[in-house]
Amino acid sequence: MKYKIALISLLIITGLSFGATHSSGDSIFQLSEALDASPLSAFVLAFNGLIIITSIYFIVKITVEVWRQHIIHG
Amino acid sequence: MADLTPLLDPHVSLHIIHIIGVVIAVGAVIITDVVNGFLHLRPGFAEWDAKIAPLFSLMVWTGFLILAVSGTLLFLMHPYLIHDTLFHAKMLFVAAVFFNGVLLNTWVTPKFEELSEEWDERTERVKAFEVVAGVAAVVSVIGWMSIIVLGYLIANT
Repeated sequence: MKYKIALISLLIITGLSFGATHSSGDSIFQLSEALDASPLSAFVLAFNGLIIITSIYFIVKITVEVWRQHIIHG
Repeated sequence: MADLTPLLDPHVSLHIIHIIGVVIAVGAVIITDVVNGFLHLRPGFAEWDAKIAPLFSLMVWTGFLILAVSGTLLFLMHPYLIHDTLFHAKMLFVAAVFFNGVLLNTWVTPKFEELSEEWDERTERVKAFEVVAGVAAVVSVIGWMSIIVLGYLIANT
């Protein structure tokens, strides 16, 4: 179960990341402009990535624990 | 017939999703603090609180995930935000709330589950834990409220 949740989460994030990073020049998502604007942009994007990965980790962890408690105690 | 075409604009729809993330996360933070405040008055509810606390944590992290994904896309739409001092301040509060959340989930919540059975007895361990958990709760509320205020100012100035 937890692997399915992790896989679906990863697919969603990969899809969003792919869409954001492979945006063309006229796209509304301006990755190259953001990175050119300031070195801080890369830090902000990396930090957001850390939040996304950590959130998925805790969502999967807590869901599995709650589900396990539900199975054990009903 | 209401005009729903603005929803097709990614600027609008992503802002709405971002606000939904705030509502889920901040709603869970506030309800957690209210329940924990109630627990101080009625220690008998500790075991019940320990059972439902993971659900509130789940809501906070779900809100965080929505905020981080929509926030990244919004940032890529408005890269000039990186020069805004208010944005810097907002990201500092986001960092504070994020690391505070990690602390809450890795140390505070497991410790609370461990102490819930002796909560009624008001042991020294329980009192010391209440101080740490109280500080984390204050950091959380002040951080989230500051993020809301700064987010509003960034969007409207």
